[in-house]
Amino acid sequence: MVLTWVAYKGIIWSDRQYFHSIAKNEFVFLEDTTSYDILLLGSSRMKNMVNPRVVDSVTRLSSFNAGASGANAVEMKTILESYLLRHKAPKYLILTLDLYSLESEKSLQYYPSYITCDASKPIEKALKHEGVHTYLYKYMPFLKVVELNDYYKGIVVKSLKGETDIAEGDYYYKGYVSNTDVVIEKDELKQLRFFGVSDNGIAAVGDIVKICREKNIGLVFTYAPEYKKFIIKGTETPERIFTVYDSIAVANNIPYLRHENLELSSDPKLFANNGHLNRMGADVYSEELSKQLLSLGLID
Amino acid sequence: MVDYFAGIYIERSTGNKRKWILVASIVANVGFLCFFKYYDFIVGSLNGVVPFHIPVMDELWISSVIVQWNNFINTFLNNSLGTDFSILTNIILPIGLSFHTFQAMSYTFEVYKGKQKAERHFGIYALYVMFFPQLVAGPIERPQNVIHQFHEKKYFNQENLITGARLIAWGLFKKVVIADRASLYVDIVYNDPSSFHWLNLVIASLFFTVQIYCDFSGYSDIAIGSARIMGYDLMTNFKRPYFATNIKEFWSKWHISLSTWFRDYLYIPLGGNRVKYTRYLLNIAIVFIVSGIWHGANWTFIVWGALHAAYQVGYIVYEKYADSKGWNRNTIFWNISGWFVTFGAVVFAWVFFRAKDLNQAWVYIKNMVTLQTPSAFKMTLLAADERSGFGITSMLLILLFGSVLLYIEKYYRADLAEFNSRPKKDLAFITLTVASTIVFGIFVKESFIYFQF
Repeated sequence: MVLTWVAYKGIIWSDRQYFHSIAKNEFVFLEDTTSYDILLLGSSRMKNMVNPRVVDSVTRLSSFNAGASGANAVEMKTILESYLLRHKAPKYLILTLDLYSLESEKSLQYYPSYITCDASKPIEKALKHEGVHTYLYKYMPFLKVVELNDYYKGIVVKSLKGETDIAEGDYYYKGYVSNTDVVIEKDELKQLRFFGVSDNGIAAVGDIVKICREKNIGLVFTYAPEYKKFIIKGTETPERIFTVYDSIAVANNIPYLRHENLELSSDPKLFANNGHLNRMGADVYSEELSKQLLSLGLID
Repeated sequence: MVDYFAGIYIERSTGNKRKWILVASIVANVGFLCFFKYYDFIVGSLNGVVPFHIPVMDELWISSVIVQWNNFINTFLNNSLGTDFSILTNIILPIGLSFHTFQAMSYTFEVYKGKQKAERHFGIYALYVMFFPQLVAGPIERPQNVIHQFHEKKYFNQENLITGARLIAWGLFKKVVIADRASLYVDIVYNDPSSFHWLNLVIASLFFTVQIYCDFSGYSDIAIGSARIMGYDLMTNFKRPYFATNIKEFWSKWHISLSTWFRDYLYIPLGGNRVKYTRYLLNIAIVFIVSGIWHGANWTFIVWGALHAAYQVGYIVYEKYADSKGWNRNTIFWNISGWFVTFGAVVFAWVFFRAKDLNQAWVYIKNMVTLQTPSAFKMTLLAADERSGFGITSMLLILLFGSVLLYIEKYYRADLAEFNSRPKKDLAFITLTVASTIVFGIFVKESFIYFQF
């Protein structure tokens, strides 16, 4: 037990040093109690693309980016519920919904990032759904080491060398991680997999809407910029998915800002890849988004 | 039930009657095995040849009766006890069928040969057939070895606890740390072998060789260790088979309980080596092909068995020739070259064992042998997000623990099952093995390979 405990502590310490997401989750769900005016929620297309520094300066409000890589609507709901347990409800929730947000195969895309946050009930529930034996770990937390695959264990070496998953020149600020100065090749087309629409995914978006209504949170749906059209594989077309978002937005009187056709979407200098803006692009988009929210009267 | 009564009636009977009871018992056992395991395979192959349709298993009246009866019981249990037993839509293979059928058959054979008294106590007999540690994947026991143990009164014994725990710990380590880690690589390559560099195919076949040994011998160690803790001794199933310097030696060390089963109940009744030379070679070939069929209803297993039959026959012919020439084969050169050839032949045959069908096996071997390079060689096989799959850490860990495996199996294998009053060493071994298993194990839902048989 002692050996396993030492190994677990060593690995998780290294992972915390290396992965900003683990440190961020522990900060948001277990430590921080700051009241933010704007909560930015979504996948990496929120986490890497909306800079709270820019949002705060334009809106004169305080924002926090709670985006998580690969998060679908179910994970976003878990993040929101867990966030609300420690924080005062924000005035506004900017929710970026992607084409894959309605898939619900996984409750947490990268559940090891949340493994140390199982004291938070919504996260514990989501971890359980992923097959994590949370009841066992309450009594023997060191056994959590079995949930970390070789990738997370191998980080020990990188961590000891002082490396982190935030690339050189990039930075972390209030949940946001800048996304390098890489510029997309003009003819880079990405082939994406099939996007599903699940009942659980739709229900999760509905639950987010309900929570916002109950907590009096101003909710805004967004679709983040993308460079060029994706090649879609599968039968679920983007139109079908947008129709679902549109219908939820209309039914609940939620503003829905579609940004895939913004002018900046045709400027390759602002993109690191098809789905993600680079550092400069994120600043440009953050400013544009903030101004739009102000000009449309969606935030005061 | 068939073998229980067959044993009693064989013991009571004399002359030809004994033989007929034995034949009836064999027909019942083999028929049961064939129905569940081979019916669809045989009918599927025949339906491709004959001009009419032979009903497959799910189309048979008896199948619907079995499914309905099973579902009636499961529904009753689910409703009355709150259990969650599955409601079946078609017949599934009973767990460990090949193993406990063979174990039951060995009982009848031994009673027939007069080496075992018929067991009157049905509970003891049932325990012999269904003894849980070795129920699903062996070792396939003999009645002389275990039935008398079930009659004895057992008491807690520190020696049994220590040796049992040691075996369980080592078996789990082999399964969870090595076999399941190797499977990360193997599964990716075997999923689409045509898209990988030939060197990836070579590594995957080597990894599968390690995987199947650690998986199967790991299970055997756990089974033997579990039984040992309760005071029962089960037979040894593996004796460092990959160190064998010829194929004959390999089969005397690999899955010993099955090899000896076939030797005692098929090879010897066929005449063994006390027949004409060609018939002797044919007997060897029959045994290995039947062994292939035993593993599963797939041509890949039959080819695997046929390959080993060819290896054995080839070795026996070579051995006779070498002896006639008076070659001294007990030299370092012969031992090393013998090991290379044996190991290479075994690795090659495992490709058929692991492939999902003959076509895949053919593509795999063709691409490996003709050094195909449909993509660049990749030392690591990571998923697109690079957070799962087989990365550099997995490679380093498998090399590290593979070395530990070699060391322990070479120098301490025999010690593991023996009690030797060295409490500090035992404690250190069990502690390190269990801690390494927890810290470095792969805990995805991987079952043991031999559970499918």
